[in-house]
Amino acid sequence: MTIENKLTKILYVEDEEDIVAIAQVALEDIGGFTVKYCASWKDVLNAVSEKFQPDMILLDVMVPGMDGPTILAELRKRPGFEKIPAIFMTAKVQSDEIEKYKQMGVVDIITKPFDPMKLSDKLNQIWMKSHGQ
Amino acid sequence: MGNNIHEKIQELFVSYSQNLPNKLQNIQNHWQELCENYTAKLFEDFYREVHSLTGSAGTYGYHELSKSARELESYLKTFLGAKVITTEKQIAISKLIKALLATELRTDKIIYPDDLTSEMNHLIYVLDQDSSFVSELRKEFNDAGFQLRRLNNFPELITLVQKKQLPLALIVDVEYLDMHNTEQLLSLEKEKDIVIPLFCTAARGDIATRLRATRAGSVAFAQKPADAFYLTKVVAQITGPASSDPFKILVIDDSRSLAEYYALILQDAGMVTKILTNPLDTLDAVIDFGPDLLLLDIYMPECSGIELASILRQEPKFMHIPIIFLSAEEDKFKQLSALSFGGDDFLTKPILPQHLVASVKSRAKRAGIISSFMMRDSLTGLLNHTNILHQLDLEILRAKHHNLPLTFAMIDLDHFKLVNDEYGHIMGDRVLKKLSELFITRLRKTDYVGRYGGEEFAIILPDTEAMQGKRLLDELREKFFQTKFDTNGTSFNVAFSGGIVSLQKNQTADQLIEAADQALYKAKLEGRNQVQLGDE
Repeated sequence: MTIENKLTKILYVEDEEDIVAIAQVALEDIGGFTVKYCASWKDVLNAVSEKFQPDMILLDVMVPGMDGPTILAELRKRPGFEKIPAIFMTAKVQSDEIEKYKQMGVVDIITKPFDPMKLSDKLNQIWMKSHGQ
Repeated sequence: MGNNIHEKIQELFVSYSQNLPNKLQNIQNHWQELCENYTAKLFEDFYREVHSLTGSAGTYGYHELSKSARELESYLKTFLGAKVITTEKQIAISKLIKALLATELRTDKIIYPDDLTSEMNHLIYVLDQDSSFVSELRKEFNDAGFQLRRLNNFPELITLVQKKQLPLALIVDVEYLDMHNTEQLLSLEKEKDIVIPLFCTAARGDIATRLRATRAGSVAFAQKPADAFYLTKVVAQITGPASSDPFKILVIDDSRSLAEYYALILQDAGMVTKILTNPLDTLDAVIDFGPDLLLLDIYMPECSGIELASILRQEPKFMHIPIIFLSAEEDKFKQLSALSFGGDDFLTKPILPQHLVASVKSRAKRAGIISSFMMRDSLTGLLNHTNILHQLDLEILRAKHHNLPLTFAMIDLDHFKLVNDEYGHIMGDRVLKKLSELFITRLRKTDYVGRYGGEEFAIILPDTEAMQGKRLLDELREKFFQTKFDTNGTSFNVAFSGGIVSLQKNQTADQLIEAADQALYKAKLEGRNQVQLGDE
């Protein structure tokens, strides 16, 4: 079994503590991923300066201060972050909004609330798909 | 691994539940403080608190709470950055907060958006003493593809509704609808947030009886001896594919955040919305989006809501779309004056979400039913001559606007006069009905079929090339030709001929129809039972 292209490190941008708590169980306990949690752009900058190189980026769309899409756009400007697959997490969307989000450079959307038991499977699926190309 | 994880998650849920009352109390306290001493910064913090609740409540299964919080959050968003909040707006916010705090703290089984499935059923409940009437109904409804279930008494109906075993429609003799029963049914529906189309039958047709039916929310009234065939058509029309589509609402307000707030409330109630902040884009949007209702702010810089309504009403095609005005205008005289320009209703801001939803839903629903009756041929349920032509005008505009292909076909039954002469008009009607059913079930939701004449039909296929259309029609033609009609110990088949063409550059509706007609004529000349493609 090749370990090379496996999803192991995730950068997770979400400011809501109660949601982070559930996500932690979903991502670390169930998924076995190594996760860096960021509640704001400032945290993201810290993570970047600590040389944390994630395999995938998970962003809540509505983070106060600088929203998800803006954070992603800024992050993409950093060397090494241009192509990392990113996913937006958002509550109830209409189909034309999904198109809009995809054009912002994410590979998929995950709707909130998410099922903590299935989240890591979903991420693995998306990872495989984006590497199948 | 299993147990440990479940325990962890369980703990999180418990701790959240324990903390929830605190969160809500904080929200209430902070709002009090804000009312006494408003600063933009404090308001922003307050907004974030509510936003935080919206997000977490949903994750932990508090659906109603999350919904309430989301509506409050969306309304608050319209005030971000404001220097002051007027007293009446404060009152509006307080009302929303009160509603939030009053929400039952009930955790439902968490519904993950991906899991949603929908079901359609063809079951109709009947409550009627008259057994022979019920068997007549059963025969006609079975023919039309429905299943009938006869109930024994009113309590049985209530039990079934409580158990969520919902039918497509109810046919009830008004005898059963006394005040108590009516009250019971209506409050049960309200509680479960459902509406079951109700059709009433009655021995008498006087106003008092009809009033009972109306009070129960009946969509239609049939006095006995009732025409069972007619009932099947009415039920099919009202419950048909078109009515299970969500209402489309066009929201026009020059404040984007306010427009988004209204849109959110309507979306939460299951409607599809589109927002315009520039009223000058309205005509295009109405043609494109095809809304069931317009929500208009009255005071807009480029063009007032009233002027917009007048413009729309000048156009026959748009005369029937309900319009609801939104405004802070309290003056009843000014409100009435506004209505005379083409509005149907007036809602005063700030509006409570449930008022908005109720007004919009009832207007859109009634308008839908009325136009459905007015626009349709009563025998076949298809669009009538006038309205299929109207629709063609609209589709041609859309096709040109989006640069998409449009295909149009004229269909005519072969030797139909012989069918009527040989087997009688009742059989003739059956044939027409059967062909219409075939069209309705086999064509797409975006296609339109109309009864153009006695035995002539017109079909509009948007976003379709002529060859595609011809293939589809040929399939239909084959299927129809194979249908056996049984009568008096014998049986017969019927065929149709068709002419199909696609919209050419700069072609008018009349020219398109003429071209299809010519192709149809060719089909007849060349032996009938075929579909001819028009010349390009």
